[in-house]
Amino acid sequence: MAEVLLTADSLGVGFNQPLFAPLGFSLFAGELVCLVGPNGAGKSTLFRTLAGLISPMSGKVTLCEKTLEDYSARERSKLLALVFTAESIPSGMTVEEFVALGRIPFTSFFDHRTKEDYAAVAMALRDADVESFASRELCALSDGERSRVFLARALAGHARVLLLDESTAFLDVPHTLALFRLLLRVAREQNIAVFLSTHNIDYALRFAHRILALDGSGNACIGPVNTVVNNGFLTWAEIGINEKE
Amino acid sequence: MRHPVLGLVVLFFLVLLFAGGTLFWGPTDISFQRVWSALFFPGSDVSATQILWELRMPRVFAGLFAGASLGLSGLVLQSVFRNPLAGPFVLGVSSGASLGVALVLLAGFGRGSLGILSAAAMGAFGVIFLVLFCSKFLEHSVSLLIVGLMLGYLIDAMVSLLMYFSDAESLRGFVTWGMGSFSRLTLSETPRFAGVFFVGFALILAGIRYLNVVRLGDAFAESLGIAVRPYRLIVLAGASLLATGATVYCGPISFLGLAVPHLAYGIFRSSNHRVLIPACALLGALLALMAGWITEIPLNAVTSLLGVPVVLWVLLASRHRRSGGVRG
Repeated sequence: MAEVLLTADSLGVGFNQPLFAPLGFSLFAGELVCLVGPNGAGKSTLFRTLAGLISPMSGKVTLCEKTLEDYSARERSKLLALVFTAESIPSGMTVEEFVALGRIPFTSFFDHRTKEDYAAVAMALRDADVESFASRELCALSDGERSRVFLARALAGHARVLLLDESTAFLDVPHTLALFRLLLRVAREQNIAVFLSTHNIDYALRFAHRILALDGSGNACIGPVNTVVNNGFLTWAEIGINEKE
Repeated sequence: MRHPVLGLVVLFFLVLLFAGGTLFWGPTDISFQRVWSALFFPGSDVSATQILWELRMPRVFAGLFAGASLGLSGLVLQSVFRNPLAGPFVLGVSSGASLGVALVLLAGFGRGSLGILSAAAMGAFGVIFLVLFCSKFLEHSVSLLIVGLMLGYLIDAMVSLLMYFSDAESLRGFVTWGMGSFSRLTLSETPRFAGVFFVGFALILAGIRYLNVVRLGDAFAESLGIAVRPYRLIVLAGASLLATGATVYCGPISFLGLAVPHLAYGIFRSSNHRVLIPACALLGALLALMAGWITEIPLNAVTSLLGVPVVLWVLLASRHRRSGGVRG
């Protein structure tokens, strides 16, 4: 049995009212789990809760055998990296500088970088296959290149759990395929848990080890691809959601 | 730039060169030997000693601290508000400090340079936190600039009112202050200016890690384990303190705060504040010393006349080379 990296116990997330029924699941080392669901189902909110940016409404999250609340922000960010949908992109920042920001949880008061930091950045650039344009500017990249750079930033911090919020948005077919393959490889080689929220359900079904599906009306289901499909948790993707006035 | 340390060292020597130049050449013609002896054996040559220590030396310090202050203040404001057009003047921070000065000089609240300093600091803090408060309700950074400009106009109107109701004597003092000059600082006030500068500088240094990630957004910074709120408070306090010192001792100087960071981005091609902070301090001091050399013309005219072509050149040249945009 693979190592458990993150566990949610009857976790309820949301702001004023829970977005879906309390949820229990674990993420294991070496696996790619995809989070699918219609817009507004609570995918981003779930990620932000798992990352400790929002407090859970109920239940708790355990990260590497310790409750999330017991971590300092810095210790937490060493174990878990969150990649956002639309990180605002400053011009004038190179790929390498951006990826080096992933080392911020490790740097000292004046943001001094050690040899170790530089080595980690170089390795992340290589693992995410962005070495060839490391000195280019972030805002001059294509969406496909940028999605890999965001991944490299997360890898540079050697986090055990990666949460990627809709990293496949804006990508064409070859880049989506490449990113899924890259995520699978990274999960296996670095023995980490990769949790990706995506609207590319077809690729999620094809590549993910497990699926966490939200149906948009308060129900959630996690399991291997077949279980989720057979339980009817993807009908919203096939026949649409019944609009209720 | 591949070797930022080398660039910083070159800048440092340029600053030294211009500081020396300001000491040895001025409107009054004194020979090199007389300045030298006045510098190392003060008292041996009374008139040279007086000119050196009472006129030129304070001007060097005024240029150094005011230039560095405004450059750093502009850098921090541009980073925190994620806006390439931000600066102490644009966001109304300098106006806030001016209101404090006006309240003391014109309306007679408090006395002496300490009174002016605290009143100006309160004005600057007040404006920056109003802007920060407004920024929570604004999606676009352009609207933020409009808020800053509006606050600036409002405060300038208040200052005009104060000027209208004040007597001729205090009005004259205020108007000469408002022209901006590096010549008004006295040697006895210099340690206080230096103190304000170093406190502000230390506050900004304490926020380097925050400043390096803040351009990517607050949520991004938090996900990297950085507590956004306290750091933002610290660096903004530093930025307003620096703008306050420069405004109180040298008058409202409009150009440097906005321009110096762009020069630094253009020359050093870095977004790392470990490079940008010393770069902005040195470039600001350098530009201020250059502008301060021409004492006959109002300072604000010189900084703009000198700086605008340089900034435009750097921006256009860097755009041509990397086909990127202005940092935002």
